[in-house]
Order: sequence, then structure tokens, then C-alpha cells
Amino acid sequence: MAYNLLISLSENDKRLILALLLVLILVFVLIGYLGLLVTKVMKWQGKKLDNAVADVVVTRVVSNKKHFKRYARKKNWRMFYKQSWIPILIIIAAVVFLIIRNATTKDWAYNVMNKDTGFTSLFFLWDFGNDAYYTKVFGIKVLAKWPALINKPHFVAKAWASYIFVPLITIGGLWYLWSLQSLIARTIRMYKLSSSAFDKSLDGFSQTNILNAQVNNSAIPPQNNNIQQ
Amino acid sequence: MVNFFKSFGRGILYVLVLPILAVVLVVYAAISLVVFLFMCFKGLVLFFTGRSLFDDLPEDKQAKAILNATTPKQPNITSDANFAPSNSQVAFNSQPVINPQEYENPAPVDQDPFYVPEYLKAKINQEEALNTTEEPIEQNNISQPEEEHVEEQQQFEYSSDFDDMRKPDEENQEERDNFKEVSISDNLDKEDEYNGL
Repeated sequence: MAYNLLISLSENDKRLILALLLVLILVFVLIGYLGLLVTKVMKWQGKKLDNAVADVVVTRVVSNKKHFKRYARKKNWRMFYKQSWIPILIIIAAVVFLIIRNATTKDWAYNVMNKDTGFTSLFFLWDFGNDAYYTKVFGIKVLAKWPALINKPHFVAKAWASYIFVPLITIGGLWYLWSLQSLIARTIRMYKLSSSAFDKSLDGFSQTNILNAQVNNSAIPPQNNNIQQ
Repeated sequence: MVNFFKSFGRGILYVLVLPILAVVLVVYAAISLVVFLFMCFKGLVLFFTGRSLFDDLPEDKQAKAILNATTPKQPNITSDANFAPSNSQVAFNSQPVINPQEYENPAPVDQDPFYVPEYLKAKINQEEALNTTEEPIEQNNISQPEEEHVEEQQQFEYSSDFDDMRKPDEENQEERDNFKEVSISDNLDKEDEYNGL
């Protein structure tokens, strides 16, 4: 029974496993750096909230956490509205354009990403959908051979609607995603500011240090006052 | 190398947390769309009532009022064409431009309570020249402090609301009496005579 569990690997299998592991590690490292970039960008976006609420906090018009959060939330949504109305307008325009196109041609099943009459006619496409190019390794379907090229970039007159719709929806979508990320970043910043600006902290405070500084500066007399005049 | 492994660990963490982040993003997208539509509708309503969606909040108005009250106002700087040099290398600061011509024609007596006309100044100088005597040197050799002369000057250079409260200076009482005897209207008439009017 135990020998059924023994695995025999050929040299090719070993090389394949090593290559897969390296690719996996690189993918994780890339995701890590991307995440770090996103974190830094969100910190920068969150700082924009400081500009909006600084006057009110500095002049002490707002003096507690609850009031600050209520005020900052209003400001945050206003800033989101100002940032997002253009991309939403672009998305609405793209959708309306596609609806008008489908209504005029009476083709409601039109696929904008079709390789023959869609946007993907502009890209190199390989036949990744064909099972003939895959094999099973430990029950996992893995690519065994690089698939054949099925499409080269070329313009198709019938795909004119997708050439307008897909770029518009992509730009609008990415722009809206950016403003949504800013909204989330400012919300996080709001919670951080509410505690840093209004919570009292005794970190680094020491009564002994203050007393020593005062004695050194002669602001208060030393403890031993037996001075003969 | 350490940073490489840190990034690898961070990558694994982000991959594990990605589904939760995606759910948060989808929820925020849905809420934001609803809030956006609400704000559009609210903006339309406010527009037709003559207001704007981005009007200052009450807290903003209070903060602006406090900031305006605390910031000092800049004085109006007006340049005098007769006085300002043509090469404009004068540094304009917050101090007002002083016209030297004002010193040649001093303010009339109704504006300057200690105004002494020219003819009276000449008369006083003549009297002082005739009446000067050497004062005896005091035996204890205590010199007059300079502060008294400064105070004496100040008393005649400016006036304040507290003039009545000042103690009379006995040494200068005689001189003060001489000034008291002269009236303002007499000065005006005599000034005209002096100027040949």
C-alpha cells in the first residue's frame, strides 16, 4: 500500500515544478509590491481630507470626535461627488451609445468583446480555450504546449461600435474606481484623524523630565535652599 | 534579500485578504452610487431654490469668521507721485508714505494744541537770550538727571487725556504761566500781522 504513494518524477516534471514555483514566488512578490503601491497612493489620497477639515479643527469650531466625524463625512461625500461626476457621465454616455446602436440595428445579442466583430479584433489572441494544449499534473490541469495564434490585430468595420464603447467604458470605469479609492482612503484618514486630533495621549510625557528642565533653567529654586547670604 | 521576502509575505497576505477587499469595494461602489444619485437629486432641488450643493457648512462659516477676526488687516498703501522716486527702488512696507512737505507747513492751531506760531517763537528766543543767567553750582555737586529734560520735552510735544493728573513741575511753573497768558485767538491775529496780512 505505501509504495502506491511513491511518486516517480521525470527530469521534465522536476524542471516544470521548479519553473512553476519560481513563477508563483514572483507573482506573490509582484502582488506585494502592487499592494504597497496602492497603500502609499491611498495614504496620499487620504491627506486631501486634511485640507478640507483643517480650518474647522484649528479654530476649534469642532471640538469632539463625534462632531468631527459628522463634519468630515459630509466633506468626504462632497469631494467624492466632485471627483466622480465626470466618470459617471462618461459611463452613462457609453451605455446610452450602445443601447442606441443595438436599438437601431436590432441586435441585442451583440458581444462587444467578440474577436470577429468586437474590440478583441485589435489584439493578438491564442487558443487558450482548447483542451488539446493542456495536461494533468497531480490532478491539476496545466498548460503542456503553447496554443496556436488564432487572431492577429486588424480593423473590422462592423466592430466600430465596440471601438467607441470599450475605451469609453474602460476610461470611465478606471476613473470611477480611482475616485472610489479616494473615498475609502479619506474615510480611513477620517478615523485616524478623529483619534489623533481629539484623543489625549501621555506618550513621552514625564513629570520628572519637566522638573529637571525647570531646575536647570533656574525657573524654580533647587530643593536644597540652605544658602547663606 | 530581506525586502524580497517581506514583499513575498506581503503578497501572500494580500492574496488571502483580496476577497474581503473586493467585497468591501463592491459594497462601497453600490453605496456610493446610491449616495451620488441622492446628491444629484438634492443638488437639483437646491439649484431651483437658489442655493448650491457646495455652500459653506455652518462650521465653515464659523471658522472663516474666527480666522477673519484674528488675521490683521493690511493698511492701504497709497504712493505719492510727487514724493516717490522714478527709479522705484523704494521698498514699500506697511508704514505709510511720509510727505516731507507737511513739515514745511505745519498743522494749524485747531489741530495741534501745542502749535507755536513763528512770530512767538522768535519772541521767546529773544527773551530767553536776554534772561539767561548762570545758575550757581550746587555744593553737593548733584547733577541734574537727563530724564527731567526728556520729560520736559515730552510735556510740550504731545498731549494726553491724563494731562490734568500730572503733578506740576515747580521749576518750570513760570514758563508755564507765560504760555497760559497767551490765548489762541490772539495768536491768530498776531500771526496775520507777522505774515503781513
